[in-house]
Amino acid sequence: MKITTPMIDAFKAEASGRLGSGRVPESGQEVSPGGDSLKARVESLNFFYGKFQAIKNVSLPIAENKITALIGPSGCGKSTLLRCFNRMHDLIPDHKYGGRITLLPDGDNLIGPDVDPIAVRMRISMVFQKPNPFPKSIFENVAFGPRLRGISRKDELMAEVERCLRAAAIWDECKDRLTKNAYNLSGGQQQRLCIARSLASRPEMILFDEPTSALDPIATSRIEELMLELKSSVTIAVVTHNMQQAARVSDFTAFMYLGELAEFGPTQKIFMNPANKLTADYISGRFG
Amino acid sequence: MDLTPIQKRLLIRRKRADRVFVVLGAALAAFCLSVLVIMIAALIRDGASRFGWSFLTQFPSSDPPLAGAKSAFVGTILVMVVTAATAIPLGIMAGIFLEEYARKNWFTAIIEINIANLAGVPSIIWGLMALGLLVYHFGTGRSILTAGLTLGLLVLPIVIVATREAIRAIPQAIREASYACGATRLQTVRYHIVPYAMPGVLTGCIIAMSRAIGETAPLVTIGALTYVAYLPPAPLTDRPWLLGTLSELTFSEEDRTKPFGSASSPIGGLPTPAGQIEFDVRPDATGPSARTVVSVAASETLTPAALAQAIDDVPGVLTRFDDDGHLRIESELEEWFLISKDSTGLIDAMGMQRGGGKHGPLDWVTSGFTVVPIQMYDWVSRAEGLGFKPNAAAAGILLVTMTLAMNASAIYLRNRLRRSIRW
Amino acid sequence: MSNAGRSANSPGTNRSGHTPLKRGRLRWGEKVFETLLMLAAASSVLITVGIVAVLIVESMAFFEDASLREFLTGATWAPGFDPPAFGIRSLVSGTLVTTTVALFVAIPVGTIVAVWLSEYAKPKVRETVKPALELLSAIPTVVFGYFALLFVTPALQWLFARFGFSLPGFNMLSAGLVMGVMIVPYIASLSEDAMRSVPTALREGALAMGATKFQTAMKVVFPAALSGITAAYILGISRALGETMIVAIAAGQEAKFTFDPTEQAQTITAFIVQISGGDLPHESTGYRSIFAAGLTLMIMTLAFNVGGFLLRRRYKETY
Repeated sequence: MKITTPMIDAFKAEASGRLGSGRVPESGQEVSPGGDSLKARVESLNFFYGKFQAIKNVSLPIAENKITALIGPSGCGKSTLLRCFNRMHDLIPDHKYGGRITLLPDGDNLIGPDVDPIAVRMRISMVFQKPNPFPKSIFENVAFGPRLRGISRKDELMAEVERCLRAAAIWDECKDRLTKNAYNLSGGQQQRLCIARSLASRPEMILFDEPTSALDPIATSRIEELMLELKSSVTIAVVTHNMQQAARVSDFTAFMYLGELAEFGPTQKIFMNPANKLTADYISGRFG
Repeated sequence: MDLTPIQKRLLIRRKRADRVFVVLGAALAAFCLSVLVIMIAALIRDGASRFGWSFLTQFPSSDPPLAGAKSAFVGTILVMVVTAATAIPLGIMAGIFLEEYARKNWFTAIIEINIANLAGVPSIIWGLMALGLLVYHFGTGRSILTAGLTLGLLVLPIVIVATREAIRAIPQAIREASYACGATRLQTVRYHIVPYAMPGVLTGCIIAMSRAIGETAPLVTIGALTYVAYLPPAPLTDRPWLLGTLSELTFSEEDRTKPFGSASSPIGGLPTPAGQIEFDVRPDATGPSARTVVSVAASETLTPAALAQAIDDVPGVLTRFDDDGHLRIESELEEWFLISKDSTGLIDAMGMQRGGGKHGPLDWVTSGFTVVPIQMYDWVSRAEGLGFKPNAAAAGILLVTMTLAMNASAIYLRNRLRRSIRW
Repeated sequence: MSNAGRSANSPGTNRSGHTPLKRGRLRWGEKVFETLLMLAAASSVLITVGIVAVLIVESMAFFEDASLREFLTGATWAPGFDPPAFGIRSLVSGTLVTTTVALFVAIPVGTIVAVWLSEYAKPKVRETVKPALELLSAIPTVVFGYFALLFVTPALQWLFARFGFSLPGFNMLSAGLVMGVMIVPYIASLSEDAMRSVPTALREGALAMGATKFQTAMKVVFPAALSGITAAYILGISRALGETMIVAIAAGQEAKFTFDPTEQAQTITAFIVQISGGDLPHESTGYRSIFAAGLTLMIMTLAFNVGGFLLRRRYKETY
């Protein structure tokens, strides 16, 4: 079944109808009708790799302290969308952003030309698909972020490192070998180390790009538990190929197809009662 | 399934070609390697008699058993220092730029083509460039500085390529991790790219240096001297006394044969230390020396005529008699000075300027020099009949030892590298 | 680094307690460093310009005094004569003959060794032999020159005497042969790399049809790798043309227009070395002739490189 633009517009209208006209916020924060405050708003986002348009006019809300999952078949643009949040595309020569990603509560446009990508990355961290710790000691891996921010005293760094390793539920396994090379850890441990590293800059938001696709089931479930723990202090957006994972872990789900947002809503609704046949087909495994 | 007799015969013939080829290939490889072994063996056989501690601590001399490679060895090391100082920073920076910063435009394409080009320039052409540009145009003279710069630029492509390969081996995922932590490009380069690439870069640098050690042609072209019987001035050693420009040296007929003085009868009451008076002819007090002109031992006396005769051999210096019959010592080039290392009395006698003091930390850079390959070349051309064959061979042993040592350490480093970071 | 919160990465905080996103300082340090790096890379262009400039400027000065016609067509090269003769033909012949002798050795030996290494030799053998060959090419050329003059020439003289011929003490044959052996590692190494990068699938196709290794190597692998092998040959030629010390030591210092390798001759490179180590004053025509000679050498090298590039393009197989 082919998605037509009128269909998308209709869905979007329905979605924004549910989101846009919420109650008047008390503290000046944006809220969604479900009472969740928003951390970010993607507004008519477009993205081009050279001449190819990878993201077509996508708008969606990111709720604060919740997990938003991005799902969809290969090539639908979910990773591309994720990487717009922390300006990772800036590393590629031929890229172009269009539209806005508004970060709340300050209201800055993350992809605005006057915004410093380095500053963005200090506030929005990323965990990658294949664990990529630095070939340094566990301590140095986590301490890298704080060092960039200017912390150089041994005791302060140690405190930060411990905080992050504890938050990533890997402190007990690491505390006796902080000076050992991170490459000696197992895959799952390395990924938790990368999560610890991403926590070091005290980010407001963490982006997970298929964080468990390279891991075994036990490591996967540990990471998922971790994400659920972390969401109370950070906002999380996760791209995943694994729909069961999305169903287990996320509060909101966005289904993308060929660069466009096909459907968005609370995870329960998307998986139990999707409004779009395409979504239903994908979820039941008929394609992708 | 059986083959027909014809097929069987063809098969045997084809298989024989296979076996012949294996033998041929292995034999030719063995031949080349045996040439290597024979060369080294020949050097050892011919040079073992001369090689030794005395060889390394003696200056060249016209007497083969006394001729050593001290100045050449020191010269090689000093030239290598300047070469490394030129090629390594420049090469690493260029490599980092091309891999981490450069965008794909016409400018970078030109740079890349250039580097590939430079790698193929014959080494003698480098010498010509250095001669025209450095020695004459920029006036750096026939000094260690010129030599180091020339060789540094010659091996620059090697360092650049090694740096680029080492940086390319670093997976993109590491860079992404660094940027995602909020690092700038400079911080990523400084804290990640350079440290991880270092072993590979180091290996490349060692290979570059070992190549530079053996380069002879460019250095001969820039005019490195073959007979250097002194060492470049070490920092904080005494500066020699400057006797003045040669053009000022004119002697009348009766003065010509009057001795300046000898080591045993000092002039003006000042004793000459060490019992020797040595004269150098140089562009200036610290510049490269053309030659040690004459060395007066305690029992000799020195007259202007003898001095003039000895100086006459120096390139660029002429001695002639002017219209009045005076002996004139002249230089047709820039001002050349006659310098004595010790005799202050001589200065008074000739009424000329002084020098003295201590050498600065970088005076050696502008000094004349020789290097081991050039010394070997000089001795090889005087090998037959003049008895310098053992010296040439001994120099060869020294050279090969230095080269092989560096190559071996590069190979060792490369193997250790393979065991360390496994991306 | 400065204390917390004050580094270039986090310029203070704003009302929500986080670092502001608008660009703060422009990070001059970054720009300065990038410019420095770019200058380092661009210096390579300056170097090339320097080489070309020196050769051309000095050659032009040379041709003010010497005639271009005589340079190109004259058969005598004698800068020391009065009047000096500047016919480059004899130097060119010396260069070409020594190069040809060298290639007669280097190309067959290098290619066969390359094929053997890539197609036949066991991995352990290859891993020992290849570095050992590279060691051969790392030996300084003066040592090769020593070997040519004081070992190969006497040996050849003894051999020639057995057949009733004589060989002069300086000759192009010894120099060329030794130069050839020196170049073998270059050709072998690059050709072997080219052959190894031919996909195994191509070999397997031939072997599956019943071809022997030799036939596969000659009829499939070699043609497929021809582009890289040609590059190796061109490198070998360039190396031979530009070689200085071996010929300066063993081939002689007398410029002679001859194609007989058993004779003494002077190459372009040996001539340059002879003059620059000598007594001719800087501004003289005789001295400047070395730049004209160098320019000739560069043009010859360039011609081979360009020819090789075009040849490679013709033979480039895509698979």
